[in-house]
Amino acid sequence: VNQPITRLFLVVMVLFAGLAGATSWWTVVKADELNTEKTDQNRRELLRGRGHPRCRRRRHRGLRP
Amino acid sequence: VSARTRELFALIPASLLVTAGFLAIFLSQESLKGVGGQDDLRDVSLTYGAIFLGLCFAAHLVIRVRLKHADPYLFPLVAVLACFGLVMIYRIDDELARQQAQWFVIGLGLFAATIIGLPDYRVLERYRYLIALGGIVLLVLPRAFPPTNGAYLSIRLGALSVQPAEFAKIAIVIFLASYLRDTRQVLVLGARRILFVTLPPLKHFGPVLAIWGAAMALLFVIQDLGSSVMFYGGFLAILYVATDRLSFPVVGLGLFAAGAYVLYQVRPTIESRVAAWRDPFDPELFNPDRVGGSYQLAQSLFAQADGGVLGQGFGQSVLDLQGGGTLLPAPQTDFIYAVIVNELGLAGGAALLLVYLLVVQRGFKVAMLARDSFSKLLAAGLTSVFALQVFVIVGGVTKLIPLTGVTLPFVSYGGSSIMANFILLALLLLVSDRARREG
Repeated sequence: VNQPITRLFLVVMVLFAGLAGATSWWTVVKADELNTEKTDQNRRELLRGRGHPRCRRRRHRGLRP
Repeated sequence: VSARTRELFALIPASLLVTAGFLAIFLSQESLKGVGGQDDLRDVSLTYGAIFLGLCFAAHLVIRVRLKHADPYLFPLVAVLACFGLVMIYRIDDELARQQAQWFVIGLGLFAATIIGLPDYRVLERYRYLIALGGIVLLVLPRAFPPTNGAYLSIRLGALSVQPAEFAKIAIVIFLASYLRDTRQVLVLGARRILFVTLPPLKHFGPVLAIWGAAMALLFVIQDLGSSVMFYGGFLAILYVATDRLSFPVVGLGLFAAGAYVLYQVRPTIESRVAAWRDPFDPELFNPDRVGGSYQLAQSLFAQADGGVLGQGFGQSVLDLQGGGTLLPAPQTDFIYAVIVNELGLAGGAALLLVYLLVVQRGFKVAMLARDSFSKLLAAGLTSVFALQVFVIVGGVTKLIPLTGVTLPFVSYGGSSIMANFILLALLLLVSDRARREG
């Protein structure tokens, strides 16, 4: 009676493996291409070269509670 | 060690994660690296960690008193997700994090209220049509308000933005679990096999077609593929668990694909979403001011590529431009997964997905242990919708499927999301408690 639930979980595992695979694709396989070849659209390298502060937050009203 | 004590101990790592997360963010703030600043940082981080642990401990007490036999891992896993979300939102915008912390407290309140106010969740079956009606009203309500990015998903009440679909998903699952509990036998008994496909008798196939029609209407009305996939996917999952016939969800998927294709041809909003998904780097589509363009998705992919395997580190993602303007839009909601991968890399993204998968595994475990059909279908349905929601938004952000505007449960900024998901968690724990008590 629980077999459909087991199969459903397997389907979810496959879907999540797809998500991990897609993340790997952009962070590992295509990373160099996106970081270096698409500089007309990807301005991160350019900003890094200009010393853009990376830890900027939208609003900062002080840290002490 | 009892289940509840295991749950209590499992909350400690979540609190340590909050402490470590805030400390990492504070350390990345140049202004506080001066002499004497380190002590302040430690105090503030520990304070936040202690407050989080205190809130979780209060919720744990409610579970300990009311649901002695409930699954001991679900709540700590959700606490990890929530603390992860709080830290990331704080890193993006401290004012939003303060608001999110308030929503977290309200969500915990609703969680406790559901557990205390609904000792026997099976009474929900009595009100299934009323609940279904409420769910449908919640789904179509945003149509009366202006769209957001071309989709009708949220309603604006003053400064407050509400996503009724978050609550509707629970209502629809409750209705379907109750309805299919009654009709599962007739769907299976009169089924006929045509070629390799088992089809239910036509007179009982009506409700299935009605729900397919509702999903198509939903797609047409709210113009959001992701929400429709989530609701319809949840329905197919419950239908499959109820009937144990693979052909039902297969036929259902075919019907959905056909309907989605027709709508793709006639609705420009859906067509532009698909175009942006197919080629996010197309110069014509890559325009930050164009509604339905690919700028957001392309920036999300750039952010993930920038993260690499281990990420740039907490607080190191570039979100805004110095002269004003946004580099990565909606980082606290739709694209929070892209920020996480940018800062914590593939390792962080995979870890987050693993935590979600563990929640889903525990949810399905609850469904397997449940002894009555309604409980089984309810737990399986809620878990499926939860899993599909994660799949739809992370899949959209990673370009696996067209991008849509649903939230990443417990992690994205949003009051509706966190409140609805805490109610979902409470229902799962209620089912779990009954199942383990009777078993």
